Amino acid sequence: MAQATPQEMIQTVELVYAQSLLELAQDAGVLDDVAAQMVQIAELSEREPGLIRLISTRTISVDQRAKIIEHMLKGKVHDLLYRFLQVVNRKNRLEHLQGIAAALAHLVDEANGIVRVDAYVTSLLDEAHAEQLAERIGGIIDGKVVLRQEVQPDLIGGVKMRIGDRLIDGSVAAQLRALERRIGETGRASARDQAKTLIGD
Amino acid sequence: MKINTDEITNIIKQEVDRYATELEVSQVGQVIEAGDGIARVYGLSNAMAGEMLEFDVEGVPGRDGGSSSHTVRGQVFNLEQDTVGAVIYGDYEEIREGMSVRTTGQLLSVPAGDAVLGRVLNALGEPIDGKGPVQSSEHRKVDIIAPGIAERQPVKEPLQTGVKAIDAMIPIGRGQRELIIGDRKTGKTAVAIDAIINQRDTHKTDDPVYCIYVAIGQKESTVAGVVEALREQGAMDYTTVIAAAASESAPMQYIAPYSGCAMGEYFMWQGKHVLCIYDDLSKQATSYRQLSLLLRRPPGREAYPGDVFYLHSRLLERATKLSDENGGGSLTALPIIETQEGDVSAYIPTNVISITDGQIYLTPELFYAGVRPAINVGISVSRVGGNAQIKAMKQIAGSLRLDLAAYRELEAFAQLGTELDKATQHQLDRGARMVELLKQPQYEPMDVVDQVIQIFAGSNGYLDDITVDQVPEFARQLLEHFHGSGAAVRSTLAETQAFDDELEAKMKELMDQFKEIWTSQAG
Repeated sequence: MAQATPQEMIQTVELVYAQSLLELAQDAGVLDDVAAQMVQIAELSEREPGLIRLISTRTISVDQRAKIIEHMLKGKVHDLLYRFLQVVNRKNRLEHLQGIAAALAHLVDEANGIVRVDAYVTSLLDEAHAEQLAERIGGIIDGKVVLRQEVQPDLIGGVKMRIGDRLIDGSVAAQLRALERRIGETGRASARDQAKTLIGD
Repeated sequence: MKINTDEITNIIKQEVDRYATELEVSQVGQVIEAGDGIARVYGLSNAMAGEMLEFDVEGVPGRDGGSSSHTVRGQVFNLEQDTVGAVIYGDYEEIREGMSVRTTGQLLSVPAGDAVLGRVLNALGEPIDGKGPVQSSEHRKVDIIAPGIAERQPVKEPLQTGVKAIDAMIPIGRGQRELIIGDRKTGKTAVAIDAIINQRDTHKTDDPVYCIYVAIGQKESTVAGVVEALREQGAMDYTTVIAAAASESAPMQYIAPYSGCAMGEYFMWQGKHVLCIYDDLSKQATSYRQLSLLLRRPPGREAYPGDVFYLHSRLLERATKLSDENGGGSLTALPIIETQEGDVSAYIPTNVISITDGQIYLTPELFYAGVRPAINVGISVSRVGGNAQIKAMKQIAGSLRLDLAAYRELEAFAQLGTELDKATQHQLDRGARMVELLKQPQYEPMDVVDQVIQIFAGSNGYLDDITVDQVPEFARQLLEHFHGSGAAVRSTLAETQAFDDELEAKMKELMDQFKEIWTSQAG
């Protein structure tokens, strides 16, 4: 099962570039290929951080960087993606490559009606239960859910879900906290009423 | 009060019966930068300006070796393109990059009501006096828009500070904003504390004045001293102290005056009267500048943000006298501003002077010359004026300011040592005695009727033939005389609060009587 990830920060500049690549790829009908290759480039840059530093450093000129990209990627990725990366290089935005890849993945999910949900549970659900949960959530939010799980024992029971930046907490720990709060409020109100009666007496 | 365990069991059983599964739905974001009282958060795309946030602080090591989790509160300050800039109300050192942040859908509110009286609280309304939680069912929002024009009426009732120089020449009314301004160590806080102590007697009437003292950026030892002084004078029973000391973070110092004002407004909207003292707003402006610069807001003049005027104007506009339809309550504000080397034309002082309805200016020269309170009546003013005085005080204090102004002009001649004509010498002598009369020890505010008696004596020449150094003792014994054999006349004056020919004649008769006693004692 996929692991829940911390919220990925996508800057506006990355979203803008990703949006333009998405639209170009959709118009050319090559979105799936381009998206998959972009994922591979992102994984490569995660494995080899020095590579990104090399191709994004401004100590070498734009033209020199362009030659490196040509040598590395021309003919190995879709021509649209290759041209896109050369444009990103010309605009000196290559340090945002990972962010652009994350933004593109996010936009592709949106275009395909896929919603990635992080589920926090006390113990990992088996495939059948996870699928069942994903289907139920998908029915409520009207989308295809890809579930990612993370174990958090302090939930005690139940499940907590994060969908985008919305958190839905149905865990036993949250219910107990709410109950504690309500008992405390009721108890305090009762003590105040008793104190008033005592002072009145 | 004995706790009945059966009651606790019943409460729990009731809550269990009423229990229904509810889902907690909130927006979450992630801290990407934190420090110095602020945090930048990614996510929270639907966060609203001023919305309260909760930072989930997890795994904080406890003394027992375990770890606990709790929440720290914050507030949305900046809505930026990718992130939200927030201020942290609490221990910002616990906030780390990567922590979760949730919106609450609420604005900051503080406890209000009778439960806050006599307490020392922090800027969030949490107790710091060790007397347990504040048991209040009422809460008020901290940052609200001031009442509109239609909800107000002009200031018409006096707020007696008990300080002779103020009540006679710079009178303050209920609902007014009167600035106390001066250099460090000129007695600004002392004037404010005396004003609080003087409200003690109002609580024996049906028109009590509740007091809120907000300490911003001061030493904790100073605040402790103020609390102790108020307690000794019996003033803590009707006073709330909000402390955002120098060791508190900038957000706490920024929000403290608004919290104090919110607590005061609770009483105001019930038709009661409140006195709010903000000591001092210069430090609040400095804290606000720090927050704004950390959150990358563009700096303006002296690096203050462009809305530093609005910081103070929206606070001070909440001091008001409500119309009778709205209960007739009032909130009087005494903001304090500290100047540097007497510069009242600096940025923040001029801002606050333009907002308030007058200022009481304290000078170090007067202070070190022994004139305490060191009020420079020449440049102090109250824009409400006579509407905030009882008629008797208006009648006898009318010429006092002019007399003192003339005295100050002539003082220079006196120092030249030249021979002066009789009229000038008389003016000087009278002025010196009035200045001596207006001196007052700390923590000894005076009832307005007693003030009227003393100033009446001075204005009518009863001090002219005694030496300047005898004036304090003369004035003290004069009051004793009026509390003793002159009690009937004094109580008539207290009741009518105005002079007519008959009362004036009786006053003079009593004063002549006292003068004879004084002279025979001196002989």
